[in-house]
Amino acid sequence: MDIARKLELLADAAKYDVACTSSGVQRSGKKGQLGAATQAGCCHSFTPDGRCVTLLKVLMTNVCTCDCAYCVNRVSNHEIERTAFTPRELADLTIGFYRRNFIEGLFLSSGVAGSPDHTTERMIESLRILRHEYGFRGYIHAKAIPGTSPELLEQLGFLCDRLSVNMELPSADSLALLAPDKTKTNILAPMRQICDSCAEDAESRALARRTTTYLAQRRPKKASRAFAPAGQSTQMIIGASPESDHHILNLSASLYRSLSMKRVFFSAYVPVTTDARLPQTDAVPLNREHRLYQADWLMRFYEFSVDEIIDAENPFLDLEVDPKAAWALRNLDQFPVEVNTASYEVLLRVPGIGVRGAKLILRARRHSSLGEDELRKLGIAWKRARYFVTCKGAYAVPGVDFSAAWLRSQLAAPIDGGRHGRRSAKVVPGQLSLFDGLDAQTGHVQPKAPAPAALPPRAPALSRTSAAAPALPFANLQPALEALF
Amino acid sequence: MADEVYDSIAYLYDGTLEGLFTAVFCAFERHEVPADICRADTYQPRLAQTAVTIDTSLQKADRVRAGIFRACGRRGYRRIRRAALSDDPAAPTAVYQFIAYAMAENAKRPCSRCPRRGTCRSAFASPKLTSCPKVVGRLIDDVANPAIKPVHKLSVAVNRECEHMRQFIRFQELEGGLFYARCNPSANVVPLIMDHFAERFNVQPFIIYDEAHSIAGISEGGNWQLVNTRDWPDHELRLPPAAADEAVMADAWRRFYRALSVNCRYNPELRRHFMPKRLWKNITEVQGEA
Repeated sequence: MDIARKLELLADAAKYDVACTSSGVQRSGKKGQLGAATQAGCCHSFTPDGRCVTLLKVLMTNVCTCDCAYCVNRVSNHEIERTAFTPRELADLTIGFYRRNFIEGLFLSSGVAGSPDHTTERMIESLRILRHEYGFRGYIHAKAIPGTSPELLEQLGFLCDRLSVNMELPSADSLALLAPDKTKTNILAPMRQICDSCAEDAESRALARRTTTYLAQRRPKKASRAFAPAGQSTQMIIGASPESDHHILNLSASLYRSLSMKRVFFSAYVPVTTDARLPQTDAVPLNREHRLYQADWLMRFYEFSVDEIIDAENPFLDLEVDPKAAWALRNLDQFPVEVNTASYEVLLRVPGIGVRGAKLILRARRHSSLGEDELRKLGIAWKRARYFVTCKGAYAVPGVDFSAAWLRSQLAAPIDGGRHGRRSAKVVPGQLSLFDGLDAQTGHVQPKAPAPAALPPRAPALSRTSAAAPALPFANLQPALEALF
Repeated sequence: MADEVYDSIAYLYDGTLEGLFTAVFCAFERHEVPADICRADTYQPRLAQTAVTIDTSLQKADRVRAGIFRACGRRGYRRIRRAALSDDPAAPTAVYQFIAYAMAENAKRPCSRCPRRGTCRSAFASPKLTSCPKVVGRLIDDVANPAIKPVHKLSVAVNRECEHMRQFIRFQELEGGLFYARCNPSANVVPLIMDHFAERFNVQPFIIYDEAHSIAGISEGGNWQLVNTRDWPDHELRLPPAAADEAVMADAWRRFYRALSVNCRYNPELRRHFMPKRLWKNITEVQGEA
């Protein structure tokens, strides 16, 4: 099999891994060595679905002994061709792509071939060739495989920039049902180890760097490689199991808190197999994924706690308004705020003002007081922010019914991302013509055809917002889960 | 009033940063307020406008550069440089007005009556340093100010184009180990991105050729320089043929790219948003689609 075909197969098998970031580590170039890494990362391409391609995201092999129901590589799937990279092939390919500026580095994952240890050894060998033989200084993200021995994980961590372990599903029960080979403990154990090793490494580095006036400086002469300097991340599948958003957000909040995760990724469940344990639907819950990411951003950058975003009474996020606007509507007593005096934390909580906008406001108002024009010029989403701010003491929109219901009707906006041909829905079908009603022979205007008396009943289309929809996909999952309890 | 309208002057310069700074110098030297500063090759005269061609002088440009450092600080200078590299026809005028505003604001705040005179940094630095830190701060931060906003917006746009080039430059290997990339950015950003590429690709000699501005960045061993190809006979670089495995690598990359897409999330608008179609002709994996 030629290398391009292998690459195609192993990339196709890896594409459902969502994490593709090259951020979190700043490493300058070094004379005589290839590569560097920037703190913010760099996206080198975008696939037709709009997701970025930062890293060469491939599997070491798509041979796997696990039988996870949702996974395309599961052992019981006999339809796919199985193959594997040799460590040298993969390293050469990475270097070849990197030198052409196609990628920012390597994202290496793998199916479990033989045992987890054997698989990890092959991954380590590949990264060793890259780092030590080729002196590669680009970004490397490696997936740790549950069940790997701690010694090997330690080695892997010192070769890569970011490590991640897939959470797979948001609860132990779903895991037992859909991924019988994986358990909560053997997923959490490597996470805990990575977290501890990162902390230990940072601590020992801090000690080594400490300068004292009375001792000789202890900085090591040769810089040693850090343990996963960009930290760890994880991902879970949304919509394949019946957990609520409340459950998922609480879980991710606790992951951020206790395991110092850098990111928790959500992956809307894409049906790739027909398994009786899975929801039988073609609808991908993209809108739900979008709202979950918005909530995730609120927790990471906007200083929201999870209880402010969602509560147990309404366990699903509102699909009509974004989570921040929903919070503002529940807490109208805190609004409107004065943009010229409000603190950064308060500004962050105004719908329509983001991190960048809040910082610009802080900077600009040191020199002049801000009104509507200035806020618009700063790039604030005035359409949303105007209901929640006062400028120089005056409320910006006169005649507003400042009630939750009215504001909600103003702020409700459908998510228009992720739909096929978003703009196509807005275009009038067929080209507009001046001569629509004109008879070609006579040139007289024809009377319009009378409207049909009654519209034909519409087919019951799958509605994204209907209340019954979330219950449907789990119809065959629910009894199975109940049997477990 | 009518006289002013019909006496409007336009300065024409050669399109380089130094040329623009020389034009700014001339405006101050001659006590003139040019209504427009334009590139000579794209100038469209206004009604009854007098066009004055400015000859680039490196000495004058250096004096203006030093003046900008004093009046606007280092960040202010960088912002001006980015804005000046933009292709927008209004950019040179905006830069001139920004500099004039900065100078005037500094002149309005003489140190002699300043309450912070005893503690201010600028008072101690050098007798020549006449800038007020308050003005410098405002030039950076007060982006809603009509004198500052155009330059800020242009600088953000040029920054974005730099990022596009860092993302979408695609090299191909030529015989003899030289790497070559063509690009068509909407601003003259090659000088701004060469540091990035020279750092990470210091083990390979490479050329980044900007076909839109006829400028090539050439780098080897971490050092780089610019070559202007506008005056070359056929405006083109003469290059060796592609290396033997180049086609294999490009093909592998295209197949990888196609394999990565998840069909049920198809969203072409989002891709066009992140990866503008005007750049596709130089991006290996989407070349055929454009």
